Amino acid sequence: MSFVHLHVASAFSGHYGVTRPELLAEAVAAAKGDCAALTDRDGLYGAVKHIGACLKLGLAPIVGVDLAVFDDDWQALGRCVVLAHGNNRGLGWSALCRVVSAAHRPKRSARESGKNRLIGIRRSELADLVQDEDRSFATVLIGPDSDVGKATLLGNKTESERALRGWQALFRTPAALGVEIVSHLTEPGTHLSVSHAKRMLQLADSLRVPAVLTNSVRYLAPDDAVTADVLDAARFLVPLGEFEAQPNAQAWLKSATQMRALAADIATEDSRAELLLKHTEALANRCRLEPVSDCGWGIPKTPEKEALGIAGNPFEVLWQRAHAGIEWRYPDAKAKALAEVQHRLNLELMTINKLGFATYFLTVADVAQMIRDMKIRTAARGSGAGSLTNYLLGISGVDPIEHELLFERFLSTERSSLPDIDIDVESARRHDIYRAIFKRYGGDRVTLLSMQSTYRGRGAMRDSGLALGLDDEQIDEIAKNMWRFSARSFRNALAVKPELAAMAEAVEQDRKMNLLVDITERLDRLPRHISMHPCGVILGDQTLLGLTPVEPSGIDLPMSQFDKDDMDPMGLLKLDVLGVRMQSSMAHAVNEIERVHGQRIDLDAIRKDDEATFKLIRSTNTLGIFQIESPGQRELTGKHQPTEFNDLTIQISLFRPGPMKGNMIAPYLDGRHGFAEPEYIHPDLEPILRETYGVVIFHEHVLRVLNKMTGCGLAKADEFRRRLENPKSAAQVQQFFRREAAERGYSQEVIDKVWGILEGFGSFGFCKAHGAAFALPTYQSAWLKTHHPTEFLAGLFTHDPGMYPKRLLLAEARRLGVQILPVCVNRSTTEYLVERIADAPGGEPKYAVRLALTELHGVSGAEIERIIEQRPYSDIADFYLRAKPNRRTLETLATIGALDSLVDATQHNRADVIARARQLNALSDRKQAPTNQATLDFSIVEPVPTGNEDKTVEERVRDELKLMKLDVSEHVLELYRPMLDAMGVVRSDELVGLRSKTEVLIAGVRVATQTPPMRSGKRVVFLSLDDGSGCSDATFFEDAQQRASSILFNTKLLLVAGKTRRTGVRGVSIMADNAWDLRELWKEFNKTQATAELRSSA
Amino acid sequence: MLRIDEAVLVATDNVGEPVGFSWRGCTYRVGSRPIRWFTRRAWWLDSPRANRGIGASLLEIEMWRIEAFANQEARQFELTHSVDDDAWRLVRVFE
Repeated sequence: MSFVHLHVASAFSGHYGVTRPELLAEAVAAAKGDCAALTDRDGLYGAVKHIGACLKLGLAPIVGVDLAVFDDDWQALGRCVVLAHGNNRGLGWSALCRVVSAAHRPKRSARESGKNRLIGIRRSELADLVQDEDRSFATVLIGPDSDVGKATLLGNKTESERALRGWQALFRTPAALGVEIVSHLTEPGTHLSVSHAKRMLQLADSLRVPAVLTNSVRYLAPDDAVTADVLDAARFLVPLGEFEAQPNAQAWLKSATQMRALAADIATEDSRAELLLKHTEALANRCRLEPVSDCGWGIPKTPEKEALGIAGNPFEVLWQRAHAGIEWRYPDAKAKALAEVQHRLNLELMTINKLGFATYFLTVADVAQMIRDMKIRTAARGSGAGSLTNYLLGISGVDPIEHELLFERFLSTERSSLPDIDIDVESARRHDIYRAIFKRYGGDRVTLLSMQSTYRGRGAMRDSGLALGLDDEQIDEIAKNMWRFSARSFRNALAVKPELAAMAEAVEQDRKMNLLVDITERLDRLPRHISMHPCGVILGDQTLLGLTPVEPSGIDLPMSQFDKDDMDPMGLLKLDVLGVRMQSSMAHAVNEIERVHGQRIDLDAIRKDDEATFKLIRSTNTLGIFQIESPGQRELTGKHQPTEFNDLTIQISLFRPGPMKGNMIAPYLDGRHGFAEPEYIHPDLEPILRETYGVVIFHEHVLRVLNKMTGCGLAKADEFRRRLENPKSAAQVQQFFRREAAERGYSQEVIDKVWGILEGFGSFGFCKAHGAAFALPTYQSAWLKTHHPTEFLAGLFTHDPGMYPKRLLLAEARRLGVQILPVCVNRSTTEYLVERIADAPGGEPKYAVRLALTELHGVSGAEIERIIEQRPYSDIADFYLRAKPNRRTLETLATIGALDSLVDATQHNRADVIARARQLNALSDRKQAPTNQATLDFSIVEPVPTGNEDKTVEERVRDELKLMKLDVSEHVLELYRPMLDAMGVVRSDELVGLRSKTEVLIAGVRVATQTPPMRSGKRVVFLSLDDGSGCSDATFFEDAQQRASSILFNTKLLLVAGKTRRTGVRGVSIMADNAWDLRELWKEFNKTQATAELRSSA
Repeated sequence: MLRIDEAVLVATDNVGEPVGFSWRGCTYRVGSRPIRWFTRRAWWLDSPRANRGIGASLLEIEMWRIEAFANQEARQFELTHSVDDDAWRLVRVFE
C-alpha cells in the first residue's frame, strides 16, 4: 500500500516550505514509495535537485508548480497546482517551464492596476499552455486555496458550481483538470477541515471532475511546523501574532495509512474513498517523468552550428582554429618546441573529439573572441588554464607548456561532465558582455544563471528577531557580534565565544532571547532568496526555454530558476563570465596612462621578469596587488620573498585552505631558504618536485608522480587523485600504486614514503593551472604599481577591487608620495582621474589623482550628472543656479572643499565658502539662471563672505570622514597624536627594526578582521590596523580574545598591546595581549589632561 | 457556549476515541461519532524553548468535539487531549 503526495512544497518554496527536496525524496523512499512529487510555489527552483534525488533513490520523479491564477481582468482566482505529464518527450516538462516563465513575466496588461509585478498567470493563458486541441500536457488541480475552494467553504453551492464551471470551460481536454481534496483536520466548518473537504468532493462529483487527495505538504514532520510559523512571519514581514498563522501542524508528509484514514473520513462511502485514492494514483502515474526523454537529463546542449556561424564538422573547425593559433601564440618557436606544441595539441584534440565537446570549445572561444573584440580585458581562471587548446583559441592567456600545466587535470576521457571554463573580465563591463551574448546567440538560447542564497548566521537571526517582534536596534546589537559561525551551532557558539558572553547571559535571563537562539538554528541553511548568479550565463540551443523556466533578474535580462549545481545534470552549458574589479582597475590605469602620457601599454605583453616589480613585491607593500594584499599573504610575502613569476603561482597556491591545512608552507619555505635539504625521495621525482623543493603542493605534482611511478597515464592519474580524497577509494589506489611501482623496480622504502605523501595529500593540494591563471593579474597589477603608481591608484580608487576600506588607499597614496586632490565641482567626474599639476620649476611634470564626485554620501546620481553637464562654473552662485544641488548637497560640497576652486583663495577660506553655501541655502526659492549673461546680478548683490575663522585640519578630517568616509586632509590617527606620543605607541613602519618579543603598543584603524582556518581547529583572530605608515597585523589567541572580548569585532579605532614576533626577512607581526577602544582612551586622556591643567593652574 | 477549563476523566475505546467522561459529578456517554480536530497555540507568547525536535505539541493541540448524553439530555462538548501525558480537559460546552 502506498500513497503518492502530489502537492509538496520544499524549502525552495521561499519562506514557505521547510524541508530540502532531497530529504523529502528520502522519506518517500524510506516509506517504500516508488515515485515522489515536488510542486514548489512559483517555480521549479528545487526541481532538478528533486529529480536527481529521485534517480539516486530509484524513484520516478513528478514535478509541478503551485501558482497564483487570475482571470482576464486580473482578478485573483486563488492558487492552483500544475503537474507536468510525463513520458511525452518533454511536452509536459516544456509546458510547465513555459507556464512558470509566463507567471513571472512582467504583466503589461495589468500595469494600470499596479499588478504588473505580481507573480501568477491568467487562467486563459494557462489553458493555452497546458493543452492543444485534443491533448493535455499537464493537469491543473483546483484545491481549497482556489476560488472554487473559497466558494465551497462559504457553503454557496451555486457559486461553487459556477466557479468550477469557469475552469471546466477552459480546460476541456482529457486530464487537463482535477479537483484537489485536502483535509488538515482543522476546526469543523473552517478552511481545510474535513467538512470543507467533503463539500469539495461532492462538488467535484456533481460536475464530474476527477478528484485527487493531497495533504498540501509544506514540511516533512510535525515538528517542522514551528519553522513554518517563522517562515510565514518572514514572508509577511510582520511578527508572529500579527497575522493569521497556519491553523495547526498537519501539513506534513503523512504516511499512506494516515492518508487512507483521511480519505475514509472525507468520503461518505468506502467505495468513494477507494476511488479517490485510485484517481490520485492514476494522476501520479500520468505524471511520472522520464528524466532523459522528458527533461533532457544529462544530454549536453550547445548552440547550433548556425548560431556559432560555422559550417561543416565542428571538430574539423576546431582543429583548424586551434592549429591556426600556433602561429599567433608561438611566433618564434624552434622546430623542437613546435613539435612539442603539435604533439600536445593533438592529444588534447583527440580527447575533446572523443568526448564530443568540439562545439563546446568553439562556443567558449567564440564568446572569448567577442569579448576581446569589445576591447574588454579578460583572463581565464581555473583548471582551464591547463589546456593548450584554450591557450591557442584565446580563451586563456597562460602558456600551459611554459608553466608545466596539465590538460588532464582539466579534461579527460575518464570523466564526461562538461568542463568548467571560467573567464574573468572587467567587472564594470560585465553586463555589457551579458547583453552582447544575448544579442549574439538570441534570447531563446541564452539566459542568466541564478543562485539561491541561504539563511546564514546574521540573516537567520534577523528574520528570527523580526518573527519574535524584537526591535531593530536590539537585533542590530546582537547581529553585530555574530562573527562567522553557522546559525546551526548558535547555542554552542554562545557557550564558547568570548564576544558573545553578554548575549549568552541575556539568553539565560530573557525567554525571548532564548527562543531567538532556537528559531535562528531552525532557519539555518534554508533557501532565503533567489538572485542573479554573479557570473553565470547559460548557453543552450533553441529548446532552452522549454528546459528551464526563467524569471526577471536584477538587470534587464532573464535568469533561469536553476542554480549552478543544476547545470551539469540538465546538460546545460554554463559559462562563467566573472567580473573582476582588478581587471577594471587595470584597464582604468592603462587608459589613464594613455590619456595623460600618450603611451599605450599592452599589459598582456609585458615581460614577466621585471626586477623592480619583484623588488616592490618583496617589500611587502602589496596593498592593491591582486591576490597578495591580504594580511596573511603579506606576511607570507615577507617570508617567501618571490623572485620570479613561478614563485607567485606557488605563493598564491600555498595560501589556500587546502595547502594550509596540509601544512605545506613551512617545509616549502625551509627548502627555499636552505634551512632544510630538499628531499626528493627518488631521482625520478626530482624534476617534478624541484620547483617546490620536494614538497607536493599541486594537483599536477600528484598526477606526474603517479604517472611516473606507475605508468598509468595522466588522465588515469587525475582519476586516482580524485579518489585519494576519499579514504575508502584511496585504498584501491594504494593497492594499484604499490603493485605497479614495485613492478617498475622502486624500492619498498621509496614506495612507502611516496605513498605516505600521496595519502596525506588527500584533498589538500591546489590546481597549479588555477594558481598560474591568478598569478598573471597579480604580476600585472604589481607591475603597474611599480611603474605607474599614480594611474594604478586611480584605477584602484575607481573600481575598489580590494578587501580593505577605500581610506586605506589614501594612506597608501600618502606613503607612496602620490598626491590626492580634493573633490572639485569643476574637475571631478564619476571616476578618479589623473591630473597634471603645476610643474616643479625645472623638474619633471607632476601628476596627482583627483577624487571622484561619487565618493560623497547622500549626493544623488542625477545631481552628479547635472554637475558634470553644466560645468564649468565661475563662482558659487553660478554653481548654485545651474547645477541645482539640493540644500544638503550644496553644504556637503562646500564642507569638503569641492567649491574651494570657485573663490579666490587669497581672499576666502573654507569657512567663508561654507557660509556662502548657507547664505544661498537660506534663499526661499532658487532664482532662474539668466541665459547669455556672464555675471549674475545676484552675485553682485551679495558678495562672498570673508573673515570667518577657518576650519582646523582636525575639523576637516572629521568632516571628510563623516561625508566621504575618507580622511583626505590627513590620516585620522593624527587626531589622537598627542595621546599616542604620550603613550609611546610604535608606528607600523618602525616595527621591522625592533627585536623579536619587544613589548609594544600599536594603534590604528581596523582595516581587516580574519579568522582563517587553523590546523589545530582553534579560532585565531587576525586584526590589521592602518596607522598611516603602513599596516600592522595583530594576532589574538584564545586568552587575548577573552580579554579583548567585544572590542575584537566591533571597534574601529584600536590600541593593541602585545609582543613583536618576527616572521621572516621583512615580516613582523604582533602577538596581542589585549586591545582597547582608542576613542574611549582618548576621552580618559583628555579628562586627565584637563585635571592636570587645573592642578597646575591651581 | 460556555468556556471552561477543567480536567476530566475520559474513557476511550481501543483506537483512542472517547466513549464517555465524567464532569462535575455527572457521567456522560458519547453519542454519535466524535470529531477529532487540531488547533494551535501562540507558542511564542509563553514557551521558553522552540528547539528543533521539541515536537508538534509546542504548536498544536488535539481537540475532540463530542455529542454526549447524561440523563437523556444531549449536549455538545469540546475536550482537549494532551498526547504527551494523555490528560484530558473540558474546554467548551455548547448550549
